[in-house]
Amino acid sequence: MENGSSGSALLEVIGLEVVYHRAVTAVQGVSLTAEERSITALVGTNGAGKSTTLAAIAGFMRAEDVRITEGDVLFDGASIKGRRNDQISAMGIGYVPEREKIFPTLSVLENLTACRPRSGSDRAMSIEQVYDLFPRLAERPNTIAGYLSGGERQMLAISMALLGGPRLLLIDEMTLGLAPIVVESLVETVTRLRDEHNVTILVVEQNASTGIEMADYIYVMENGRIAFDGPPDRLLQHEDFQEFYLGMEREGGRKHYQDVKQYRRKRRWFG
Amino acid sequence: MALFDTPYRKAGMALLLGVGLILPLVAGNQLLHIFNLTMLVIVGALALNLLTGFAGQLSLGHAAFLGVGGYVSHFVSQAGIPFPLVVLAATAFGGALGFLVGAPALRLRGLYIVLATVGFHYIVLYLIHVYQSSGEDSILALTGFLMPEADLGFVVLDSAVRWFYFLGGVLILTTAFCLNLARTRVARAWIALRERDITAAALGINLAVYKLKAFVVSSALACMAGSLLVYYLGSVSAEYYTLDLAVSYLAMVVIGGYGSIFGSYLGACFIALMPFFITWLFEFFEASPRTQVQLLVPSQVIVFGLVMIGFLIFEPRGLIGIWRRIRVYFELWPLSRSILAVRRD
Amino acid sequence: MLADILVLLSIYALLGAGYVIVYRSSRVLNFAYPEIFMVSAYLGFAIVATVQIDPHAIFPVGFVIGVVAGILIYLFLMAPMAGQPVFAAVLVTIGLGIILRGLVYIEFTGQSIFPGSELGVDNSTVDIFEGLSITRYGLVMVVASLAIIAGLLLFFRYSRLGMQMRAASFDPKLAAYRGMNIHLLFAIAWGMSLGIGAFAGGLYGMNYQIGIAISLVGIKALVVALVGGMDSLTGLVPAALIVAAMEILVQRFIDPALSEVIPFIVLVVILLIRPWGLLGTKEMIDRV
Repeated sequence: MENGSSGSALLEVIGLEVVYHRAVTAVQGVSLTAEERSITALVGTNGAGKSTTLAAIAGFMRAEDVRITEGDVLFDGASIKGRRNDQISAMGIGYVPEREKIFPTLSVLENLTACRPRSGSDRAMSIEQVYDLFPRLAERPNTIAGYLSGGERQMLAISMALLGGPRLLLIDEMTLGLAPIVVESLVETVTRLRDEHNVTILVVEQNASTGIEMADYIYVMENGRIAFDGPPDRLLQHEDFQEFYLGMEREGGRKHYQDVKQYRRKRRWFG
Repeated sequence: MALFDTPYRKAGMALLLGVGLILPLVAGNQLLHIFNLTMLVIVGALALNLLTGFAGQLSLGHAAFLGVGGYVSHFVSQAGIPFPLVVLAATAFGGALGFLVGAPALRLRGLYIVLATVGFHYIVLYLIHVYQSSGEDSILALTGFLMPEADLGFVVLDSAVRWFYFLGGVLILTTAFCLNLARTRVARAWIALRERDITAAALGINLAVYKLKAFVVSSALACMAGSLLVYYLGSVSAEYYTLDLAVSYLAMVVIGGYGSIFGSYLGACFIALMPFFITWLFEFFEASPRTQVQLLVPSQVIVFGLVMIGFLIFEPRGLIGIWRRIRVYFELWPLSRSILAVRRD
Repeated sequence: MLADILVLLSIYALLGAGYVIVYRSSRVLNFAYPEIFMVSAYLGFAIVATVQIDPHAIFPVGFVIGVVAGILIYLFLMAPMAGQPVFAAVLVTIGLGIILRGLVYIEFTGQSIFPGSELGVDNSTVDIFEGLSITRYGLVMVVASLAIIAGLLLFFRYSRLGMQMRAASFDPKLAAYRGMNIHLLFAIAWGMSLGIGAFAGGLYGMNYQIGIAISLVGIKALVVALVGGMDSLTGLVPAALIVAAMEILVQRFIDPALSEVIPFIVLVVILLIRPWGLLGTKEMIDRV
């Protein structure tokens, strides 16, 4: 699975395999790259292994007894596999988990202050810069974070990760359950991060069209494997992708549910 | 009986029973006394293990339950009621008390239950003091009350040998009760409650009912143990029921291993026999009487604390965990080189 | 009588703060705290009496020893318990308490000491105003506990470290990922808590006496912490007022023996009607 475009890879995942409880393989031989200063999206349905892949890269596994059994994760050419999560974070990888991503008993400003590094690298953002990215947060610094809306939580969580000055930002389910207008503003901000702040971004997305809209390169995951990948324009030509992820209709009418099921089964065994 | 399913267990039980029957004939009174106390402690530990080990409700109220058992026995025995009925009455009272204590505890979880039981402990202790000083005799108020002899009707338990057989019977019955309980729906509900109460509730387990049941059964058994204890010791005194006593019972469950009946045996034996072992050590090293007086109790206390912390940090599964690993080692021998150092995940 | 209530209130509030700090940062109820309070009172006295320095050195010396002890306890006893159920860590503190009590028996044979008179410090009463006279060290206790609690409130509210401690208590894993040194934060919390406990121990000894039984004061302070709300510093003062006032009133007018149980009756009542305490967070109770 080679990333087509030229440029240097900031993150390289090679043949990653993640196993839960020594029995369930959640991710199987996944390889992907994230180019410096690009937005890469991991797209797929529930349980495809996207979030597990992201958590494995970040070294942030909430559940116990999850292991990377094979493969390697290279960040800027050096292996970070099996490092402690705080070490990985200190190397310049910011991670926004899907849930439990903020400290709900602290106010917005307190959340940010607590996450501000004492002596940050030159990349570290200030709280003002973060407020500039997310004006909505600037309006309510004293709101207790637990009372924020889903979109505001997402903004706060991304802000908290940005304060550490990451070179690579991993965002799990960035737009899940958010209103279209919020999604739009988040996509805009992420693009700004790439263009103005030189942040490389890897997002997990359920919504394939959002992925198409913002990403420079897309990996589609199914059953713990990467089914196909490519830049958005190429994927838009891909028949399976059109049908099963964008829901576009082929000539001859919409496919029957049974066919979709058949497709999944085929993917499971041969993908 | 399905309780003793494997031939090994059957053989083991038979052996234990045989040793138990013969022991009083060869052992001296002092040794028998130690055994008797240990058996009483095991019954108490089994009671706490139901509440803490199975249902996962940490309790520091166990000394209070034991004390209630003792004082109710004294109160009832004053009326001239025979020994077996007194024990039954104490057990029944214990069950009722468990209900009373358990009902408020339904609203609480985890550490808050511990705190509630601490409060319960001090309140009971106060009531015991009030009861003890209510008599006309001011000396009794300090020393506690004497208990009548334990008269079973056909035999009076007036020697260590007789007590040994009696307590052995009680222990066997209690163990059978607990083992049997462990196979029922109730015990499975308790374990679900211990492991994750929200999930247990989602599975259709009525948390309140089962929590209450745990309190009732545990408290009834504890009061029975408390009742037998005061009869055995021949007196009842408020001094005995300290918070430390409650802690030591909790330690038995921890050191033995949560939710294991055999583990309770191990833990109770360990804690009950340790003071005797330390005393023996002092004698072995011929410590002067003065040192003995000064250091005996504190060193027991310190060793006890160290053992407890050691188990919590290095072997959270308790003695039963060690025992299981050793058993697996021998079952797999000679293919078991690294089993003893098995990873803990 | 008002003075008695005030002094008792401040000792409860001070020790209650010790519980709250640790509970807030690591969700652990430190059951060894009563013994730590007692041991530090003995130890402080022993040091000052042996070295023959100014008796008031007992306060800074006690505080420093407490801080060091707190950090060591965290590193050697609490940090290894990470990842295990909270109550396992609580049981460790119970074990630690037992050990400390045993050590006090060995070293001091559990006798009562009156450091005030033995060190020859002046603990005469001063009149604040008509009808309120208070011992010197009692006054120090009142002022010190109010100052310390106010300081702690400001610390948790406004300092970055305080915010981080609150954050780490809620979600240590995320806190670590966001670059906070959680072991440092927890160690600081334990150090602060035990430093306060040791300071309080020294002060208590100066004003009253030292004995094994003073650990009961520590247990009652736990009740105060709970009544106020285990995660609430602001709840401490009203909670301490309730408990101390009831205790002293019952002691004066009803029965001294009953007054000893009053805090525990309050404890049971508050657990029944409002388990999260006067000013505690309601959700907290579900997280235990």
